[in-house]
Amino acid sequence: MNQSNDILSIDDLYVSYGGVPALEGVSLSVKQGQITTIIGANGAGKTTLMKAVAGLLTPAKGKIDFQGDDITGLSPAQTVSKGLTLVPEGRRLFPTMSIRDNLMSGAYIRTDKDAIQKDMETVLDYFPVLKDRLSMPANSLSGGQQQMLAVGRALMASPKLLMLDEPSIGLAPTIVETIGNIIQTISRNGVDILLVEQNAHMALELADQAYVLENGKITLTGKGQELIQNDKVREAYLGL
Amino acid sequence: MELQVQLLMNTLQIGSVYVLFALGLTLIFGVMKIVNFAHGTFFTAAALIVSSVMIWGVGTMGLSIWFSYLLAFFLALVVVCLIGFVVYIFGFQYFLKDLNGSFILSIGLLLLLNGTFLILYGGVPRSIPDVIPGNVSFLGASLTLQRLVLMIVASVITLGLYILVHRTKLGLSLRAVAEDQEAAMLQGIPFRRVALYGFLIGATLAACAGALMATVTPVTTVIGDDFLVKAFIIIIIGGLGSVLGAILGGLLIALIESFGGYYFDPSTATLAMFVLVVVLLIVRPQGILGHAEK
Repeated sequence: MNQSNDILSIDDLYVSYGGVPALEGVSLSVKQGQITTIIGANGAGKTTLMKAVAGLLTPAKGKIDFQGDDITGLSPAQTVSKGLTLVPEGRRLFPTMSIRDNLMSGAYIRTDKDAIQKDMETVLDYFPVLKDRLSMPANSLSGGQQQMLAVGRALMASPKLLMLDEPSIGLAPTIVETIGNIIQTISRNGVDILLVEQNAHMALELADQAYVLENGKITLTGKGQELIQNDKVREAYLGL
Repeated sequence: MELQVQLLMNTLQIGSVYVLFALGLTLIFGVMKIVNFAHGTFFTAAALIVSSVMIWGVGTMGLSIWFSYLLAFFLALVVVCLIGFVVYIFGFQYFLKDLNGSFILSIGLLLLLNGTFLILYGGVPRSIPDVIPGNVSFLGASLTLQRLVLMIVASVITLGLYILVHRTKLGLSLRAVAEDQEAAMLQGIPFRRVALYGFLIGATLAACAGALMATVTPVTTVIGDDFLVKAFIIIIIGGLGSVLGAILGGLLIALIESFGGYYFDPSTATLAMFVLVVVLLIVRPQGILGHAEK
């Protein structure tokens, strides 16, 4: 495996959640300049994996490397500072805070005022729908707009790797497509993507590299396009 | 008319202190998701420190009343902040978001501190000399200058807190933690440090309220307990965790107390507050400006 090309590499990771083992020896890597996806059913351990990488959960065993640094067991504040941000499952916005404050909270760790302002403009260019509503509370937005805000908030940290936990959940198909396009644009603009999805179709279409997570273990890996053709994946995750 | 103005002035004066005190309680609840039953002891500690420093400064040292009061006020804030820091480090930080644990801890702390105050100060109420003597008339109503200044100072502190919460980065982190702690952590906000700041700000607000009240009312070792009950009513009415709610609730309770106490009698006014709470809990349990939990 070409280590220098990996922005994130996870090696033999074990994480328990509430005393129950949720991940049992997960290894995977995210390459620079790529969209990597992890698909898996409910309860497969996807969210646990995201939380462990972000620093919300401490692994029992294993190693997480980010840009060559060992980040295993670091706090979320430390992982965010290193350039790794997570858009959590269910968006988790600050509902009564304004859209502007939600975005600014994403830039909490940063002190470079001018650059923050510039990133704010970039984010609003990605999501023009937010522009006219900056002083409205986040809970006044529709589901799709809230997901955009959640992605925008994460981008405000100026991440090198953006992790998205089920961004398409509960959204109408046209909105899912929009979100997919945005993820692609962000990737093209130089932010690496780790996308976790139950909606395997969108995820595999986007992904350069894909992993299938089942019961806390990686059971299949390959190029996104390859997995779309895989019979097991088609049956289990694409409903074909 | 004169009478109504007078009652309104009383409302604003007592209400401004209620607001300060309730703001601290609601802030601590918002950030730490605990109810601090020992919040009144911060108030009491500040009032007791003000009274003893004033007696020492004016009586023993012969300092001017003004200077003694400023010194006392400052010392009260420092000491209460220290007490807050100690009880946070050795206690509350282990019970963040734990209603049962923090309930037991804060009740224990309340008993411990009340007992300590009684040993140190005895049970005799003490008054301090007027810091600012004189009266002012306003639309026929008369108010001691001292109460007017108290009202202004309390309002300025309230405004300062509002600006802190809504216009600064610290405020952003306090609000973010209050709304969704885990999401706040994912933005890199250090939850535990922010909780400590929230707790200390809350304790300081209670100390400000106590230090101000000591100028207009006799100080006893249980002076804060009465305020605690009112503060609970206030934040239930205004909405738990809401700054504007605490301001609104504080003024409303003072209004009921002041007008109800005059037109009926004080116990009827107290009864009215509790009736209001019961009615509100039935029709709008999240409070006037509170947000229902998802």
